[in-house]
Amino acid sequence: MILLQSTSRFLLQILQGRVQSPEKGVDLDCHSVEFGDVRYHIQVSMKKPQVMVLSASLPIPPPEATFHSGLPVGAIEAIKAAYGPIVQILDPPKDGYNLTMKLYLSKLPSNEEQRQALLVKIASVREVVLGAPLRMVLKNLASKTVAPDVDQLVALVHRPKESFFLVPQAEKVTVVYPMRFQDSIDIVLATSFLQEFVEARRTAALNNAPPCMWSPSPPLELKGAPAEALTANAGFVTFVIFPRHVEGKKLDRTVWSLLTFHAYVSYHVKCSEGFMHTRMRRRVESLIQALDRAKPDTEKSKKVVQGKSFKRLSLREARGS
Amino acid sequence: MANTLRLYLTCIRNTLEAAMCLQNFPCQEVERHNKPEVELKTSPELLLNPVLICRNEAEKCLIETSINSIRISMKVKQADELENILAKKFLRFLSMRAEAFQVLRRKPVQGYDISFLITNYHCEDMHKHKLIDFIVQFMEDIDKEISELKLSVNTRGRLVATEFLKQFI
Amino acid sequence: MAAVAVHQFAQSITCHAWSPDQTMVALCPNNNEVHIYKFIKDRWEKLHVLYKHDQIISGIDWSIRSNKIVTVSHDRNSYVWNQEASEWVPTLVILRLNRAALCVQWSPKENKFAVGSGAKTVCVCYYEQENNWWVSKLIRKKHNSSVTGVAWHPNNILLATTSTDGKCRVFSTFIKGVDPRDSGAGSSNELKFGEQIAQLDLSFTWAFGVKWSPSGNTLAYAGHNSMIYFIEDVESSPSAQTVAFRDLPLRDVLFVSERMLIGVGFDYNPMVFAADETGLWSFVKFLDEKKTTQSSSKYGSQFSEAFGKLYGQSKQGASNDTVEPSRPRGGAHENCITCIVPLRKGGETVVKRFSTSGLDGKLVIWELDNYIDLLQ
Repeated sequence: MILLQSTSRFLLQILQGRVQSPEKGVDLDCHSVEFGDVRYHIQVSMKKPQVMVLSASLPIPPPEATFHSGLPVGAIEAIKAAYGPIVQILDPPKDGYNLTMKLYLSKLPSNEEQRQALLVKIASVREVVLGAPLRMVLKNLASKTVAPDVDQLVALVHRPKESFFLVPQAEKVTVVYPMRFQDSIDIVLATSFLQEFVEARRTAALNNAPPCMWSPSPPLELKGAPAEALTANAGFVTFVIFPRHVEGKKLDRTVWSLLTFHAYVSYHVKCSEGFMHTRMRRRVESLIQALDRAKPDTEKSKKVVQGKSFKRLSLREARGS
Repeated sequence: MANTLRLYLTCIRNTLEAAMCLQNFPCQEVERHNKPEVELKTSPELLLNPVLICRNEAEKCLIETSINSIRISMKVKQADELENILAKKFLRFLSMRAEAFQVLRRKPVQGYDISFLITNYHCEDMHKHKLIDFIVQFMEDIDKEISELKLSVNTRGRLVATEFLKQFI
Repeated sequence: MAAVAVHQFAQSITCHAWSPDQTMVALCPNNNEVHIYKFIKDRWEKLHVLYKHDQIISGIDWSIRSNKIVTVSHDRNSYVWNQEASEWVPTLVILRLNRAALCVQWSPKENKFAVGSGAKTVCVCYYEQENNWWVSKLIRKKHNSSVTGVAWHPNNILLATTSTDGKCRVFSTFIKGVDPRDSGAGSSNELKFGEQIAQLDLSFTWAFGVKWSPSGNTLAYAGHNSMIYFIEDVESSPSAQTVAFRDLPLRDVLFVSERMLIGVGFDYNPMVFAADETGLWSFVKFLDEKKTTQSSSKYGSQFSEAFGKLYGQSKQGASNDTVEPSRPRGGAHENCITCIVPLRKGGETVVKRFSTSGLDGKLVIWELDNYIDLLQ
């Protein structure tokens, strides 16, 4: 699996399980933590088997990208648009969570396909909620609508206390990521990977992909950004999104890809390290074996004289021993 | 490039054949002690001239010999940041297994990435020519490993990037 | 054609010595013990273990007429072992050393023995009847580094030494009451104990393996830079010959006759050196026929360059562009040979049989059948 999936397997499994056998008399109270510090809490009680309560906690946004009433801009509208009557948002949310929703399973469509699609959509709540502001900007691009925030720097949270930036314009949206990693090895690997993005984009097959740039210092678009945003130990990546990248069905995919770009790179850096670790261990083992070969056979050394000697050999025999 | 490696390794091998003529030699400084003279360095007459073999400005091998011990120190290629961390990681891996590699010195000599300390006792327990084979193979392997790891990082990076960008088309 | 028997006694052998009748061998298996083996019927039986030293034994010598074994060790001690019935009884010799003992040899008359030490001194020991013990007289302040080898001149007075300071020296060991006044040694200077007769500064690096020819006319010793030195007329006007060879250095040497010498060392294969009618010494051949035929000159030339660098001098060598993987030499010994001992028959001055022992734990017996051929 190379690409990160927008649907939470954890949530989907629980939802599907509940829907398939609602008579199962077990109370459910499950927690999950997913990448980027997103947490879920899902409950159902046998007193009300047709209602599930799902809470989500989002990564803490940095000052330039604060939430309004605990949620990203446009999140509530996005939830209503995505889930309709199935979901009721609770105000205030459960303590420690940004969002709590009641899911009315009885209101799910009876059509198998539609029901499955909706469950998948519910399990993709992260994309809906966190991606809401980004989706709005990109939708404007798709419909070629000039938005009120044109040419302004928009900051959106994508990891705890870190944001990425958009510069919405009429014909394009420029996305800038300050890339930061903790480990010195991660930094070097990530920088190498990021430079591959620029190289890959140059190939003919990816001509239509968003233009991609990397620089060690903040690009011009970030002029006016807060100081903390201008430091990044693995440089800055810039994508330019055009209307063709967000038309029709591509919009959702583009939102998710851009929302989780840093997480994607981070994930593959870790995979790479795991792979290197395995390789190095194997190489070290083979070197130790090579050193063992330098030792004489233990059997030979045990042939010490206690009656085993080669008396009066002709030289041919002596050479053979 | 492969040519210079062969020459480099052959030169190292020949020097080791000559230098690894070690014998049991008790310490002149402290009674009843037997220490590697190449580490002690208190009796200069027991040391031979160190030999430095350079493949290029960045990669070199220092061979220091004494009557009962020999120290081989290597500077590994590190052309860029990536090769730098790959080398460091690999070498750290090796030093964690220092006990299994009896001939590995715990800490490299100042100015080098890795050092071996071979004493007359090693030459008694192991076949000298195989020990030399091991050292030369070791050097070849490190070189190869760093090159291959770098290639794999770049290949993986290209794949990761391509898959991501394809999503937008 | 040369190796007639190969015996594996241990993982490594430090040194060995033969009993007077050559039926028993005493060896140190690279630890603090001396094992005495006797060849009974068709196998070697371990008869005795001499266990007194607490560090590795660096030298063993077994006197032919008096049947005494002397051992020296890194523990700074020496014991003289006497056979009483079926036991070997040790007598501690107070060497007065504060560093390891490195080598030992009985004098030709067996009334003295010499010990080289890491204290940069030489002990010459003799037996004092009245007190029933061995007394050690020290030759001090003459060596600048450890004394690695000692060798007695046939006249029982002159002693040659080699050292890691690179020099070979000859001393008088005349002891009043032990040695008769006119010992055939020339001037009265030589009659003083510890007097240095000669100092030979021929080697750039450590010297090992010193021996006198049967008549005492020639002195030979090895230098670690793959050299062997032959010196005539040491006492009067020394004339030296340096023979450089292309292979790995020697650890020990043995004169098999006035004009032939065998050297053993890091090449695992005894080397034959001989002097022609004019007295010019040169390398003749390796004794053991190797499995792999590598032209010695090509193989050796690669080391010459390397040796040159180690010893700070340039030696003429071919270019190093062939990739020669290290290969075992395929001979009787599989590791460095550290010791060579003659196996003389009766009163022969020419040695036709000798034994070698090494770090491979093997003891190999060699015979020089085609003796005359070797000289060709």
